[in-house]
Amino acid sequence: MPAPAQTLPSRTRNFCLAAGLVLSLVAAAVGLGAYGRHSRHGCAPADGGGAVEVVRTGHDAVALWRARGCAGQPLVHAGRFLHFVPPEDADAVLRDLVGRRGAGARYVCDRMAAEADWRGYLFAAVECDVARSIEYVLPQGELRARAEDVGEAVDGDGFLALPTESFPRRATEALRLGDEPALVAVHASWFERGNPAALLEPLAAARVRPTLVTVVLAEDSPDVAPAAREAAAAFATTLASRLARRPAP
Amino acid sequence: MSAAGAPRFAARVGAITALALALRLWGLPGQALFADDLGVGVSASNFVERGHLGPTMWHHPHLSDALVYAATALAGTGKLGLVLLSLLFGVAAVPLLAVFTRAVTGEAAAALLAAFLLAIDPVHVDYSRQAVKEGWIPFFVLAGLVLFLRHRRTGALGSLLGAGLLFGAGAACKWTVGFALAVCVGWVVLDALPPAAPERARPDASTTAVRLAALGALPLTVYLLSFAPWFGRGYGLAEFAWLQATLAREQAVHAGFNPYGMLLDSNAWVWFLRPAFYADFAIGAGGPVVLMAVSNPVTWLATLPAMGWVAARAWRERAGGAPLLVALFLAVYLPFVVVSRPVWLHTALGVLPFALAAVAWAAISLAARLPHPRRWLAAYVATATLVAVPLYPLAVGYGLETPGLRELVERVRPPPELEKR
Repeated sequence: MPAPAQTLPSRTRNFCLAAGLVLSLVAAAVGLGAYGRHSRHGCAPADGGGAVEVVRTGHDAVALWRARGCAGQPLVHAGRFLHFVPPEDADAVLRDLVGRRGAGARYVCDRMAAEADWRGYLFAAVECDVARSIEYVLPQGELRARAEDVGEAVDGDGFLALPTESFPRRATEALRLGDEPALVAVHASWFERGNPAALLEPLAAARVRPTLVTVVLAEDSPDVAPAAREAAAAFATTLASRLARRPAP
Repeated sequence: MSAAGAPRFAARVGAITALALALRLWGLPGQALFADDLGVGVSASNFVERGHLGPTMWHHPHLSDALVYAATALAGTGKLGLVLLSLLFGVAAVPLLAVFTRAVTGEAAAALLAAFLLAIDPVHVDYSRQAVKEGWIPFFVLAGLVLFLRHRRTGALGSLLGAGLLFGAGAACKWTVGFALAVCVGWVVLDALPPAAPERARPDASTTAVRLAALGALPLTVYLLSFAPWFGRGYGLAEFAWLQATLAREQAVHAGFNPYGMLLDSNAWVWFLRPAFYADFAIGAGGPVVLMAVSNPVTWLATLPAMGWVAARAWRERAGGAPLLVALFLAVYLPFVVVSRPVWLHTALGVLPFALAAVAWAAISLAARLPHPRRWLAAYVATATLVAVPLYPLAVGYGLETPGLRELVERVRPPPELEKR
């Protein structure tokens, strides 16, 4: 006959339960962190394509990123503008969510991507979860003007936090690529005032290569001159060549 | 309370709860959806299906979005589905207040009076009929407290874990719940210190450890897990910390989503000094619908004297329920008094249960010292009820149709330049 189960003394039980609750917290934190990392996807390489892609418009950039499966990445964007203007019917699109149970994410992304233009293609990229943060690299002198616009100060590391409710955005004047592979977009507007070398060198020499560099010629943007577009195209060719000479990590 | 009195108490609480349900449900199905109701529905889908925060109340935590999403799966995305949880939590808060007040005061009569005053409270009725989560706060706070008090009385670990879960779930809907949780944690810590009075038993280290874990680690776990859809967008723990700081920054300066709000009472210090109000507007099939929540002056204006009476009692007794009640009232109320941002009347729902418990306790105790205490109490209850009667149609959106109230509603009409917003 088996012995009756021994109940743990209450002190031991209490300590075990306390430890279990603390461990649950740690496990939840670790698990959610892993879930977040698991949700990030670098852009898949195109058949025979390199790490640099040239697109005509911001709308095309969003379509490219979606087609390549880019998801949950930090997006580094070089250019003069923020491209974060929501489409006029953005509120109505969100209201439609309620009636599209289970298909809401795809629906909102499809609508926002379809309406993305030069004013708001980065907004669409966020709505489609291509990017989980945006770091704008502005040409020299533009950062101070932006800071005055939003009434905020540039911090000691050279970053200006931009008010965007709960979405992390910041701006700086120097292209800095971190340890995590990023999605990089170079907008033709950069070449109106910015120095190509300020982008070329860090991109070509980056220790952690971007998952994709997209050069946006901004053919639909009235604020970009043809010469800047030509410079952007030339930049794409030069960068692709530099990256091709460098062995993949 | 004697065992024989328990069924009678339960029956009376049940009757008051039935009254609360009737007052909150009357005329609700089919009533116009308010912009906030719609916004809550959109935000629920936006969070659960996409991990995005907002568009409404992005600066609050988001378990409420997941709960509303689940509720609308059951009851549809119409008025009743969107407000279902507010209705359930609003009604459930009434018996919970009875149980809490009885536990704190030891007086069944005070418990019943507090529950009745909450049942007929116009502000609580109003927000039990809207999808926004203000009406949820009393439920989570009271449910957590009732279970924590039960744990302290019986030692039941299940009650302790339940308290931690409910406090965590509440805080994952709105941070306000964290104030009451902080009082419980403070109580556990004070308990663990060497006692000033040698006759007071000090809990052993294992009891303190499990209480702190249940009121610290467990709510934090619930809170963290409630952000799972947001993590699904690729975010990590460092970004989670950034998000919390961002939410806190917005909470510190938030001025509402509509400039009309600045024309309404938006200072917490007025809540218990004069009648205060808040208004919401919608256009229904039959014309405009105005929800006008006006505090019942017979109960709200009695709060500070009653709380003063409880505080004096707490000072004399230094133990029992009075210090807890004062601590809870101050912990929830004072942050809203000192903050510089606008704070509207619906935020008072977080502190209202403690206010009503104090009012009921003081009323019962003071009446007991008078000749014919039942008559005095009956007169007070009758006065509170009579004042609540005209405030009820205002709170449930039928003020414009009620003779004598239309003029009052017209006085809160937004100025023409804000009407289209």
